[in-house]
Amino acid sequence: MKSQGRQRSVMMFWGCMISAVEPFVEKAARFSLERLGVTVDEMPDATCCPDPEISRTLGEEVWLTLAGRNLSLANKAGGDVCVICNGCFDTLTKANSELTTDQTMNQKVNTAIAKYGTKYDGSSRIFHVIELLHDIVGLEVIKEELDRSLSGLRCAPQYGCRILREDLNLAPKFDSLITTLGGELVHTKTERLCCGVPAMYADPDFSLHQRTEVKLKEIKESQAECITLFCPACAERIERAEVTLRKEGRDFEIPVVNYLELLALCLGASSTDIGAHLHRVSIDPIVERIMKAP
Amino acid sequence: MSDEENPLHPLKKKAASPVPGSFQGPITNLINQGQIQSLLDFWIDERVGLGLSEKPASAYSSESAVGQTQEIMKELGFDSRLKFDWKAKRLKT
Repeated sequence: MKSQGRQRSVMMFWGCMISAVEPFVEKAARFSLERLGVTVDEMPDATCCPDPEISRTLGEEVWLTLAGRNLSLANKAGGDVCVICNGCFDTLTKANSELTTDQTMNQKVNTAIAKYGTKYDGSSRIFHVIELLHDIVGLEVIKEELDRSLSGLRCAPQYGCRILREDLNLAPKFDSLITTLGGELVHTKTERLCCGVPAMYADPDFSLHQRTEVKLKEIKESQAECITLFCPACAERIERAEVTLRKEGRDFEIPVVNYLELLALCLGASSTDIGAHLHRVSIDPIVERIMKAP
Repeated sequence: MSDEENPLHPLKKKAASPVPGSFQGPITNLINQGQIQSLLDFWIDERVGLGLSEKPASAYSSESAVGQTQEIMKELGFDSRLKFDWKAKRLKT
């Protein structure tokens, strides 16, 4: 992380889901970070992190080598890496840890990538955008920059299982970020239950009805006005499930909003600026509520 | 007798892919494009509409990144283990 006063720059690892199917999150992130004095540097030769479910299951060594290659790009550029996607965060932090502690794998990976003029040296820190906003930008700075507030919007946080490691302490930070915008936290018993993504590959029916629907039912009962999250995979899963369940006669109609979209709206973005119309489940009620708020 | 069974050659079976069906699409994308998620024209248009670059600055727009990924996969035998057909650009099933 390069800093000068309040101005900072960070290498953003966008991953594939945000770039390819949730560009509205990328837009909201760029808008918000710029407003908060964070310059986004690109990683033009980055590939898939690769994903911790499919790629790692099918080939641990390829998974680690490709992750090491991605990290080496940041090492070479002398930057730290910021990640929004929980899956990318999981892969890159675990690969970083393995390559730092396992010298045999470190050597293997470096031998494989040496011909591309890069070297993994472990010099880049990898942090989740929650940490960037909470620890580095800071809640006070965010508060100072707000044009609008969530004014008590009832938000059910969906943390996503990959950031729930106790040592990271990311869930309480996520909560603080929501309340900083003026949102009201709605905690549910299933908030730490998996959204259903990994199970989807093995048993789609179980994933839909025993994971996602269970969460949706409880969130609906809690009278939360939206589900708030960072993970694009959770978002994709929950929105798709709502559409499928609607066809099965169970209409939840709970907006699924990335925190960065809420942040951008509170920092002055319009719904058009951030492509709010691209959601499968309309987030218009949330947008209207924020726009009308004092 | 199932549709896949051949009465003339009862022991002949279709070779099963070592990759589970639900993994095949994403892993094929990873091998061909360096990303597990395809970037569809619809989303390219929406990206442009949002004022973002047509293709993200990553393997979606970097041929060398894709090339390096494929070389690494070949060197580690990932492609042959998964029975990837480079000519057809898909897994053999």
